[in-house]
Amino acid sequence: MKLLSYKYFGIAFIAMLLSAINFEATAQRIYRDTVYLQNYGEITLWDNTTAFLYSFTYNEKQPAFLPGKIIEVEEGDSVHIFSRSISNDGFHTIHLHGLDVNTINDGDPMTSFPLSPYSEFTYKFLATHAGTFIYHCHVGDVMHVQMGMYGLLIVKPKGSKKTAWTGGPSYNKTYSWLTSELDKFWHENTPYAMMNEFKIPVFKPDYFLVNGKSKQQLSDTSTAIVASTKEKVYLRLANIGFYKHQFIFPASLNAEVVDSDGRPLPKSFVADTVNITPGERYGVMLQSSNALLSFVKINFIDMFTQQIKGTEQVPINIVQNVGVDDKNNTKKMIGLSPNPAKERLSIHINAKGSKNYGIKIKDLFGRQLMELWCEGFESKDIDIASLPSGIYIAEVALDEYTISEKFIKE
Amino acid sequence: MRIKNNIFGVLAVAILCCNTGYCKNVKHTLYINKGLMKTVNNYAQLPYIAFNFTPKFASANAHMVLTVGDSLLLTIKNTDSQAHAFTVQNTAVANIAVPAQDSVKIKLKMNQMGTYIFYDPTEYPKNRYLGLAGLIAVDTKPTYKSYYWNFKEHDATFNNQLDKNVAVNWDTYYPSFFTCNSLSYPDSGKDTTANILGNVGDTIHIFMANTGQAQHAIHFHGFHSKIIQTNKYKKYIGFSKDSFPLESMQTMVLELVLDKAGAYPVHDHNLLAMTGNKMHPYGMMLIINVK
Ligand SMILES: [Cu+2]
Ligand SMILES: [Cu+2]
Repeated sequence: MKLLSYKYFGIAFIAMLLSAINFEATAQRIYRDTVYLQNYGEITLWDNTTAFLYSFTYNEKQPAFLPGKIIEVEEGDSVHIFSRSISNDGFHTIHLHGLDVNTINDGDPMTSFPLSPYSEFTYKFLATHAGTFIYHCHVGDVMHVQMGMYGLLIVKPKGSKKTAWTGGPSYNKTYSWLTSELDKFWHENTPYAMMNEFKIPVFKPDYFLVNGKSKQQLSDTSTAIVASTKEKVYLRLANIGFYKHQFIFPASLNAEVVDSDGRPLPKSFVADTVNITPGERYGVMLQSSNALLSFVKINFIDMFTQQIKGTEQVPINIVQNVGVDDKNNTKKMIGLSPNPAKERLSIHINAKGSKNYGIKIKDLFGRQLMELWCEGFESKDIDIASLPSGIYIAEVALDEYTISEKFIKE
Repeated sequence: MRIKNNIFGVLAVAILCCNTGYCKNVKHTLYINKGLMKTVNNYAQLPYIAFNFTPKFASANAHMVLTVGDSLLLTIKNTDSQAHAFTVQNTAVANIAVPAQDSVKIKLKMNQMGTYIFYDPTEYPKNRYLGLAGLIAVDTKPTYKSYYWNFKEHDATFNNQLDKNVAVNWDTYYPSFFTCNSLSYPDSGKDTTANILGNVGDTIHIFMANTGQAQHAIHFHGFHSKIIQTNKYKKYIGFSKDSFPLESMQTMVLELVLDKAGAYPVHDHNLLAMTGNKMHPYGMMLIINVK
């Protein structure tokens, strides 16, 4: 059966001419970005194994990664995404999920057109609404999305104000979690030429991802939430997997759902459980009045059976009043500097009379990563260059008691 | 238990005077027909049962269209050799027996806008899963341009086992056919009751139901639409969405304003449903065409 014919290449040419005259006249600002569509890349999973990818890259000489980078634009922008396929075979597109773009720029190969190897096209649209969106390949959608061709596209309010939308609730910090699953078998048995029909294996995901990470990788500073009790956190959630993702927030975070799919909700609501099915996005405001070292639990639920097939936990660390990055550590029993730290972390003991002590560096899951014993020093420099970026706990065992402090490795 | 033919009046909600000005009696006969559902590309033929307007089996269930205040006068004729029953979700019509080769009459006044699933609750979810589930669309005015989406998915092994009265384990359910009005892409593209064909400026009402067992995640290209009614999770009413979940036995009414020309797919964003017999792209997809 002939579903797609190669007449699309003629359409592609006309599309380029048409899109060139799109929106230019009305928009105030033009946001330009470049995306390369690549059929070679690799992801390192939590167990140190790797999986082969199709994905996006932003430098023609680099392999692709998962997820793609976050494209951030402003409400009102005319967005031009120059897209070039650097795949040596097969077809790709960019579908601008939720941005309500016109047919030519929609990236569905059935109604629009696909990009053949080494061809290029500038996808154009007007960012009419602030909110959270997704860009993903729509060729052989089930396969190319599973292979990793997805990323977030965020439309910030005009002037990049720290509000969920223009006139919406304000925040101090923001995080974005793009969630998905990965079935390694699919990545090792990728069918060839997915333009027309092709067969897919049974889906049995073995990795459950938040921003392409799982397990201990989730203490990464770009994913784990670190804030103070004074700070309001705006969390953007987007599901690009094939399962329902159920987010369970600690009750003391007062999770308030404020927007969805790039539109404010008619009325926000407080919920400690937020279910997000494939393609949906939600904006959630979080704030705790008390210090909290906990997790947001995410259940990955099969859409066919409603069974939980995987669970991940993203660390959340709310400190009383001051942020972790507050430099004023003088009143504390132990001082950590600099914090955040890159290569060396200096531990200073303020407790009187303690000159012999043991130091343990643990991740937020309580796993011990380093151990040192110090005699006769009030401060000690330790080499943390080998730690992956993330939030860690320095546990110092003094003569009579143990105290711990958190630090960020950049 | 056998309910005699004429239950007119028994179930009838008092017919108040009609304040919309459109109220009327809508008469239909539904036949319970057994047959085989042909899947996309003839990959399989599934044992199936459906409610049709004629005694001839068709895998697509009938849908009925009413306006708020209308009364539905239904005759249900069971052409099957097995007994069935009849329920209209969220109404007083519940578990009305329809014995084998027999018929019943039902009168029901529709007082609220919405999509209502009518189905056979016998050995639930068996008969509903085997196909006996259609939708009633009740709109506030008869003048809206409306479309009807009855989503469902099918696991061939389950259809065959249930048809032979063999128990199934729903925890192992892994459907491989995904349909709207019993059709998968590209056949679904020919269904004029489902594929929106309109002009820029049109306001469309979409009456949809999930009569399958799995949850679906419907995604619109090109448009956000407003959820104006649903039978579950009422807090979603008023949300403007491009992607939203539809649980088993959940219904919705969407309002869609066609603000630009072009062709825009609507599909399940659980992309596993974009396949038929595990072959891409023979799955759950429709196309909106705007001139
Ligand atoms: Cu692709
Ligand atoms: Cu999408």
